[in-house]
Amino acid sequence: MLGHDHFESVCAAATRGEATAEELAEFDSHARECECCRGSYAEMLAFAAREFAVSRAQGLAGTDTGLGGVDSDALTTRFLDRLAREGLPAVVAPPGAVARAVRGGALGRLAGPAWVPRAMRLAATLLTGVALGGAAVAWWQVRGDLPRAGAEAIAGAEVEVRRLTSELRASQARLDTASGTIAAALQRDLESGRRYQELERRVQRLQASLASAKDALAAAEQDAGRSRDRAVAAEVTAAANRARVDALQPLADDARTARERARAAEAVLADTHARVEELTGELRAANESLERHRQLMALSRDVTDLMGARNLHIVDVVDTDPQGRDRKAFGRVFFTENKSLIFYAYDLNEARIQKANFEYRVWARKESDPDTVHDLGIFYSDTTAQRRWVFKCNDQKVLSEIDSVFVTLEPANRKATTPNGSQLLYAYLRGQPNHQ
Amino acid sequence: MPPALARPILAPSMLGRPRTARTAHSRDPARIADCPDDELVAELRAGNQDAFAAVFARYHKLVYSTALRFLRDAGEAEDLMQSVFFEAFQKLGQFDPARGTLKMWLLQFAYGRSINRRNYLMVRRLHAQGPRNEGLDELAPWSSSHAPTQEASRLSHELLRELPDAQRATIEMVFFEGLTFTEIAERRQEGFSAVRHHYYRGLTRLRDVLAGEARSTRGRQGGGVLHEVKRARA
Repeated sequence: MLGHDHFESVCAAATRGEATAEELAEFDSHARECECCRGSYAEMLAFAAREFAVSRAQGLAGTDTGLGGVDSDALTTRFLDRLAREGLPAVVAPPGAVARAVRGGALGRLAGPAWVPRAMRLAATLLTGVALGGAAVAWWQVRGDLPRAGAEAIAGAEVEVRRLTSELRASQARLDTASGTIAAALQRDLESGRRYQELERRVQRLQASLASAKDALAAAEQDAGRSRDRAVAAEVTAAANRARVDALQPLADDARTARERARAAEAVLADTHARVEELTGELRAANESLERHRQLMALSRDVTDLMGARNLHIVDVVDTDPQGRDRKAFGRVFFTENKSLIFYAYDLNEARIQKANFEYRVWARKESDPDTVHDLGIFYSDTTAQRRWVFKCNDQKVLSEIDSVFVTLEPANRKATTPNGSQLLYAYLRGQPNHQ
Repeated sequence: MPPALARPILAPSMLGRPRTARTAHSRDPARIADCPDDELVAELRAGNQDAFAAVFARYHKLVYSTALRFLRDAGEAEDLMQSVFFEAFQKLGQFDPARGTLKMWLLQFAYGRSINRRNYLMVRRLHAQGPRNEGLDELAPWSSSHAPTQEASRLSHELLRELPDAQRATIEMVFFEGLTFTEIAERRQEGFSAVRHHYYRGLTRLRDVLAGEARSTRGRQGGGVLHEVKRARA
């Protein structure tokens, strides 16, 4: 609720024409119900008007306001027209020199030359005189008793009539001229009237255009109003969104804190992962070392068993080609009867089994029953540096049933029940033991 | 107010009288145009219609230029000028030569009417955009019933000097130099709102004191005391 202090401020600005339209509208609504503010406005306006009047009255030497382009005659004419419309005709045509000065040349010219009324009055007088003179002469002639003095008077009257007739003709000529001038003036007046009507029609057209323009302006203002409404609605929405954002700010802070913690945890996890990998490597190395130790222990046990075994067969195996020459690959068999079989092979073709996906498989059979073949297993690479392969078997039952062993090259992805490849490294195991 | 001034001197009925009915106070129309204002006023009060025309011829440009200055529309200015003369002549009985010249009286009319008309037009244009579009009525602050009169209070020299510097400077620039608030703001390197506030505060303070002085100073002659101060400084 705005107070009088605010409205008095608007009052002060309004009395200098410095208040905005919105302020004036606000003040207008208020002042219609507030006599105090109406009085304040009137007081301030009177004060401002007086000071303005004093300033202007002292600042101007005369009535010249510097409005060189103002058509003073037109202003005066329209003012007089308004006076005439509002029922003050005596003022509309002010008599005398002042009135002529006020009305200017335009109205004076329309009234015609100044001597025309006088000529018309003179013509009327002459016509009256001639008529009266003629009547007197006729009456005296009818009476027939004209005295001499009367005859002289008649002669004088006739002279006067002729003179007056001559003047009448001259006046008539001037009257004709004046009539022509008046007719021309009337013609100009008529043309001015037509021009005026044309201008009126043009004004009407312009007014129609103005009305259309006002309508367009009103429509544009309505559009602007709707746009303002939309802008206000958008601002409200934006404010609501800002409020939501403000409300979500704590959650955003929590999320940021959680992200930071997650990043820290990720860093810890990465460190842990690296440590695990490091420990895994160490474990792998330890396992490998343990495996080596275990193998060493196993080898050591095998060696110990072999060294102390009874009925031990140590057989060196060398293949020959059809020409009787030794093949490259050879083998060595450590066979403890009915107890263990260790078969070492050297210089086998390793590239062939890798490219064609083959494996070296060990078979065994009893010589008295050649159709019965035992699949003992496959060779494993024992040491790459020495190109040595090994096969071990501790199955005492199988070992008690077989007489010989041999090797074939078989596809790795097929389970073979009988040997298909050519035999390699054949060794007979039922001879006399090398070591009792 | 003297009884002779209590009635309108130039009522429409008097203006409409035929020329032969002019009073004995009338003088030769050819010489009226050269009469001083006080004699013209006397002729008007005597019912001389030539004096009416002479006053219009003498001051219509001044009134028109004042209206044009505030309304900035030639048609509105001319219409207001005509209304000012109508109203001024009808209220001639209220004119007191002891309180100021005819020229000042007409200027007061012109200023007050122009400001009122300007404010009214601004409000009407604003309301034309909305549902409300009321006409000018007696309750509107811009109504003609609230027009300034010669009874306006005037300033005192001492009071003007007692105003704070900013308020006094603003008041002087407004009334002595006729500057707008924007022009004053540029000259004083201040904001528009500050200038407007100085003007309001200064004017309110002056008005409050003058309201008390008005009773004692009623009848004092001459122009506004602001201008007396200016003259004294000069």
